[in-house]
Amino acid sequence: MRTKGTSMEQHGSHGAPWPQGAQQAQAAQGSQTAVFCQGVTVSFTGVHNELQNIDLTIHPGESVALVGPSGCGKSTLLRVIAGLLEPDAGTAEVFGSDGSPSERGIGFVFQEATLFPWLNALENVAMPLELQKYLSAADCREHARAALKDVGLLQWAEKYPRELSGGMKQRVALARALVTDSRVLLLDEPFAAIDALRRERFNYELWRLACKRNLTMLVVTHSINEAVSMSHRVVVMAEDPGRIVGEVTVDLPEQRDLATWSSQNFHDACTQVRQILEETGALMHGDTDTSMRCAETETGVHAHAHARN
Amino acid sequence: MALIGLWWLLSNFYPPYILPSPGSVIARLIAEVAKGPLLEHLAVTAGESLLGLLLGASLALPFGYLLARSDWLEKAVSPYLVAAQAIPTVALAPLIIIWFGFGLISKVLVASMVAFFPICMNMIAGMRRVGRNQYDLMRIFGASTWQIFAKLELPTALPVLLTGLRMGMAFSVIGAVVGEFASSDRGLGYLVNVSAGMMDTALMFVALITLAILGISFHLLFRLVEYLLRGRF
Repeated sequence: MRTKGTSMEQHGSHGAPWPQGAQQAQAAQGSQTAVFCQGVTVSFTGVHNELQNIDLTIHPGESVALVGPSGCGKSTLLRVIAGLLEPDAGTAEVFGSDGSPSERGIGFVFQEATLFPWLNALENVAMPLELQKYLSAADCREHARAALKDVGLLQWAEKYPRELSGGMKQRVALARALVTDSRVLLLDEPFAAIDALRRERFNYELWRLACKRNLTMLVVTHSINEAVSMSHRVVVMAEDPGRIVGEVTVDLPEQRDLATWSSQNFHDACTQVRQILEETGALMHGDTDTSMRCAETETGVHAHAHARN
Repeated sequence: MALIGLWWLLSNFYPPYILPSPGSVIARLIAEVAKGPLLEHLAVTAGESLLGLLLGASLALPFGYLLARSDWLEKAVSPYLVAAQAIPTVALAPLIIIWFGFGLISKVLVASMVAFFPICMNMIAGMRRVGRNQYDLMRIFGASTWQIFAKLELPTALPVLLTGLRMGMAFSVIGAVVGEFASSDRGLGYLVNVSAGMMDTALMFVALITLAILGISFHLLFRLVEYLLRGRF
């Protein structure tokens, strides 16, 4: 396993505020795959495989959720796809690019918002554009305002991270991931630190945003409920070694709202994901902190899959 | 005020060469300022301290940065750094003077040696505040090495770094005074030495008070720099 180095790209002179790699990614959007992983294997120790022979294809505009117990390598897979970690074997491409992280044209949201505390929300969102030095400072801010508007935080643009709630910080991080017009959004448990009731609303808002922008999205989550509500497809992983053990197609309409979550199809998808996890033993051996859950929602979903110790 | 009151009270029980009264020390301070040499001594010590800080910081900052970025280098160098720090500067000052003479350079070197360690350690601690995810984000944004330093590492390390520089400033004053103790014909350390030799306790108090004023002035100066820099980042 190797960590890839940093590089700086010289950006083109097109109208969009993208790095060159992202422009290539956008140009390639017409091709069949947004994310293509083949035989991805990662070993931190050289003995034990964190990820073993992962094959995963995600089509443009598709949202995929990755679920599985702690330690099954979900976040590692996300880092490989982002180009932050080079696999020991196999390839991981985003719109045909396997270059440096900035060449892949991705947006990344971590579990923690990772905002820069000395910058206000607007400056945080504008930072990727300012680093690219392609747009003027005024244009960077204009794009940042638009991104903040998309996540409903325009009126909080001048606030510093310390003045924002946990949910607001994550939405600022989301706006920052979207500001460069990334077409693939990688989210590593983006709402894990947010209380359950707000999470449902954020899931719903993120889904709407993804549909509106035709985003390709890969979300890592510990919640079956969240996975089903924000995806077209749920990919289930197991540990020792980290591998894909199954996937469930989510048969829900594009226009989703809180009521969708109480539908029979939603319940069925949750149950299928739960069954795969049970078959692999994830639910039997998972620890409660990182429980796979499909909790009852406000709207009355009746699927339960709490972890058993 | 309570401390001055206690001082005044105690001075009634001791002769002036042991403990002069606050009034006599203030009178002496005014007299020394009027005569002129005190301000010259102050300027010498302040200059040595500032130059010592400048030299110490210009070595400690890049050195601390390299140590923070390289675990291997830190493991290799840290034992020697701690060992060097364990040797009292008072013991090294005569050696420095033998090597570099009685002039300004030896005092600046002693001051920089004392200032080096806290600045270096705080640079390392400040750099360690940068998280892996933050580095990853900068890579996703396509930031260059310089941009990572200027936009991420420096602002993140700055609060801790400024504390280190403030400590380094106070330490460099101590270093300069130690250098003057060892051998000098000017500076506040020299004045303390001379006044002790002449049993002129009032003059010694004047020198000590001037040193305290110098320390407070540097502290306030750094507060101002901190305020201005934090506003920029």
